[in-house]
Amino acid sequence: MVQKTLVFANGISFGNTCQIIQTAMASNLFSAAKILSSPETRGINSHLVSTLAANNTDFSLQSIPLNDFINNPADFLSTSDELNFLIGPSTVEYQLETFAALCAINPPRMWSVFEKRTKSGISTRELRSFDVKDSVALVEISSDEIHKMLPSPVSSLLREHGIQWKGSTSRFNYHINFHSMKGRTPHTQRKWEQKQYAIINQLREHLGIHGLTITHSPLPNHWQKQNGTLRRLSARQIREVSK
Amino acid sequence: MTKLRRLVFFSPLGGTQKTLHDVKTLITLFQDPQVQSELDRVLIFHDESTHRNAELMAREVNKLVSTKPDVQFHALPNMNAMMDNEIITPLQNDDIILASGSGSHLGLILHNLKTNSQLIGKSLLLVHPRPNGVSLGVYKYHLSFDEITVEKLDLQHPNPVQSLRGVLKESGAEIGEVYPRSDTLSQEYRRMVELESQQSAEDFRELLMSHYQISIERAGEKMEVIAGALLSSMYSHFTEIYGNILFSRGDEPLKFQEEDILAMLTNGDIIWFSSKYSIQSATINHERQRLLAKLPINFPDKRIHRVILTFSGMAEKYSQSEGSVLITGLASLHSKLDQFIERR
Repeated sequence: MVQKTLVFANGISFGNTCQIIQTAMASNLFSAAKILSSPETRGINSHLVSTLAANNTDFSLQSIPLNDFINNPADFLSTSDELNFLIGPSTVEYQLETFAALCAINPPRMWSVFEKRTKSGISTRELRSFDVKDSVALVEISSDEIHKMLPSPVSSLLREHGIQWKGSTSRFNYHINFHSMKGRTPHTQRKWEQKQYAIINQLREHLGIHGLTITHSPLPNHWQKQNGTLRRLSARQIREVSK
Repeated sequence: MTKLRRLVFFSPLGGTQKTLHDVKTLITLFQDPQVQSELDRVLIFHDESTHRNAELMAREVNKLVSTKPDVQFHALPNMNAMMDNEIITPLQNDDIILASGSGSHLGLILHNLKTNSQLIGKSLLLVHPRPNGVSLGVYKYHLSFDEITVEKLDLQHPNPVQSLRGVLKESGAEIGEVYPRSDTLSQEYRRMVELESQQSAEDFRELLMSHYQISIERAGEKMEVIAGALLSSMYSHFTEIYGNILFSRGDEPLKFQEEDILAMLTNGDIIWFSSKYSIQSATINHERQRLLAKLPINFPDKRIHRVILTFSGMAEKYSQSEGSVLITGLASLHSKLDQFIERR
């Protein structure tokens, strides 16, 4: 039987990888998926594969070390397979190397996560082939589902910092609330700022830069006047919301 | 006979300096013995949002190549419509393509290698300037009816050093001070650096205050001046050194970030220096935390090294392996810079 295999090298963004795999499994377009793991994503991919494969025995899901795949793609694919390569996640180099390895078996059909954006944000997200013959909307994953799939240390970390999952964008959100610092001394505020930085860095390590959005409550006047650290350093990375 | 080739790239939405630098790199590559050919045409892909930058790029390319290549433009649908219909790009035999634009643009190129029937029997080169700034990944695709053969080459980056001024300008930064090239450090400052390394932070600060008849606040500023002079005397390690760099956000008048010194090393990496001449550990700790954030510039973060310049006595309290911010006194700065250059 011809395997319709989706191959991609993923990034650290856990939610994005989850959503792509869930979509591939739910669609009738693919019968197998191979996630190519870098040293940074190997652990999380193994966890994800063991969790998702247990729920769907009809779909072949595998995590393969990227270097093993690039060096010997024939060990993992058959020439009779219909190859589909999803471009987008991961680095340009990994993607070019993966494409070269796939060409050694069969030139792949190219896919992308296609997003239509409106002024108010992203309106649609689909897995679409570049020949535009096939397209499937990315499945929305609920907060309960994503927490079931997360490794427990990451899940605990997210609970500890009140991280919210946004199914519509497939990203986690960390909200910084300045209200708790009202009336505190500058020394306490500075300590608190440092702690916020440490939290953001830790979250980015686990969820990836693209997998995490950061919002904050309107800045109190004293922060703006003091040209505070968060304002100075994160102005381009975090978004103000009115809560 | 030298082969005539066309250079192909996508016009950037932002990051024009990076794309321009990559284009310069490819122009240099045309002279590489493994690629040797003459650039006679340029094809720039763009959409509505990148059309203006495409024109800017065209002007820059014409300045860079004395033979004035024929520059062609090819309009693509905008990102929202890019996958509404299949796109066949006008790629040609022997094109040299710069891996540029978004992931979808790269996907479009790879899709065309497989499906564009005009390309059967042709060969194309795709070049990826790696973010490490050291090497280029070169992929040569030979296309036949049902096969793509890929040859891979690894070339040393011929042009690793970007213009720091260009990178800063593009990020909306204002440069307050340009450090001049200097071959030597004055006798007086050399003595100060030596004394500083031999004394505790408190004692040296006292010495500085009495020697120059200055206040505590001015003592810190004086150390920054000495640090600047020392860096100028080490100019052989750098291509550019700038001080008091102010970043602003968009069109907001508020300057939201000011940095003491940014310097471009000769290997193309950047050093982000912060002077913290305080005897309070809390001040150094806070600064170390601050430097963990990203600089608001379009440059690979892995190639930005963070250094806090402080009193040698304070620097000794911190382990060198602790975190990714180096804390050093002036006396050992030279050997630390060598480490940054050699680690590549």
